[in-house]
Amino acid sequence: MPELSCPVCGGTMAVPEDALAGELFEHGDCGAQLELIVDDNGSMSLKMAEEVAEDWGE
Amino acid sequence: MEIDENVVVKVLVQLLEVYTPPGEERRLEHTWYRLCRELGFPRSWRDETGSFFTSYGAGEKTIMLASHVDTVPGELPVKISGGKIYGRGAVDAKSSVACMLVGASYVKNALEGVRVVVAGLADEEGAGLGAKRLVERGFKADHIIIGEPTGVTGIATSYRGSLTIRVEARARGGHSSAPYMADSALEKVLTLWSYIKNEYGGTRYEDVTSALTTLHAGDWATRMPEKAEATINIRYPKPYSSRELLENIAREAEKAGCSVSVIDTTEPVETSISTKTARALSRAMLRLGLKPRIVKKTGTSDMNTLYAITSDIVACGPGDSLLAHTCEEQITIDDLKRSAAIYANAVAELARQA
Repeated sequence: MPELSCPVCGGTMAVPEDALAGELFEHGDCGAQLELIVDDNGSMSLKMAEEVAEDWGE
Repeated sequence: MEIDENVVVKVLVQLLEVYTPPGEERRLEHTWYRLCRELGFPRSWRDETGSFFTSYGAGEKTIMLASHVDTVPGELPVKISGGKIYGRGAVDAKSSVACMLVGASYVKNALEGVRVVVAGLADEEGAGLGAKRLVERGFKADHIIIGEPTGVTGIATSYRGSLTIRVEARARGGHSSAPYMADSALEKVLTLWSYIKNEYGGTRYEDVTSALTTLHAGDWATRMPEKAEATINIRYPKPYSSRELLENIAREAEKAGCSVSVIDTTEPVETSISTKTARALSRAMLRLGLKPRIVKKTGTSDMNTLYAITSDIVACGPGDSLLAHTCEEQITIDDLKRSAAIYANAVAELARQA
């Protein structure tokens, strides 16, 4: 599993081998909501997930 | 995977054509059994609450797709126009039910060693009796997708809790010309409401919010009310609990001279975007060229109750939640196709996982 750096807390986070670009993860240590970025060279990194929207239920 | 537009439209229209406010879900019986049979589900059944189920497959793992077949009251004409389908429940949540049925049916023959159950639960818009019954009778599932409107690509990982209380006060009353000598039940209730509003008057998901929803007091312009009654709905995220809130409110109610009783309580639920079910949905969207979003719901849903079955649970479905419960309920056919394909891909992915 690739280990990536969390952009929020700086800690490491293991990402599954089969993860897709754009997949969303929660960093277990700090709770940050993160998106997996894969560049043209196949190199992986994490960024804050762009959107955490609020709307109502019942 | 391309979903046949004719199939998903036909299923939704037939669900919409049967008006099913809470308590009247059984009207859907013939339609449900017929649609499930036509889609290839070998087993369909209904429970005593009016919840409908259909399933295929067998194995140690169970994947459940659960939405609800009841709608808020207020029948609307069903029509198809301009690539959209209109009708009561087109958003909340018969479009989810239709997409779950069609999506699950599309991957039926590709799955092995797994049981897939699609549920159209009853009374979600009421007291949630359908979901509560499922938990009471010990239903087991490893993964649950809740069908609620999240705009197709939203994945809801949390819903706030809800506490509804009735506040009552009695007072001696008196003439309004000398209020300093009188005793008003209305003012007692408003004193407590003032505390609740100040303490729990948040404006964000993370806050506790409160709303005064009913108030009955007084019968004459110059008579101080001897009786007053109010209903207050309080919404709260984790880590708050109804117990903690009620302790604070009960203490202040005693000071204000009011009595408080609980009408209904639903605890908040919070899961993770990293769960297997959330991942399966997220990956399904990405494979279809869609970008997943994380959504937090300020309200409640059957997810709050069904979390007791498995913590691997999230909500996702077609429809703009701003149109839910309105007379403008509508869904685009494109969104129906997208959601059905997302469910199909997600079920296939969950089934593949060890």
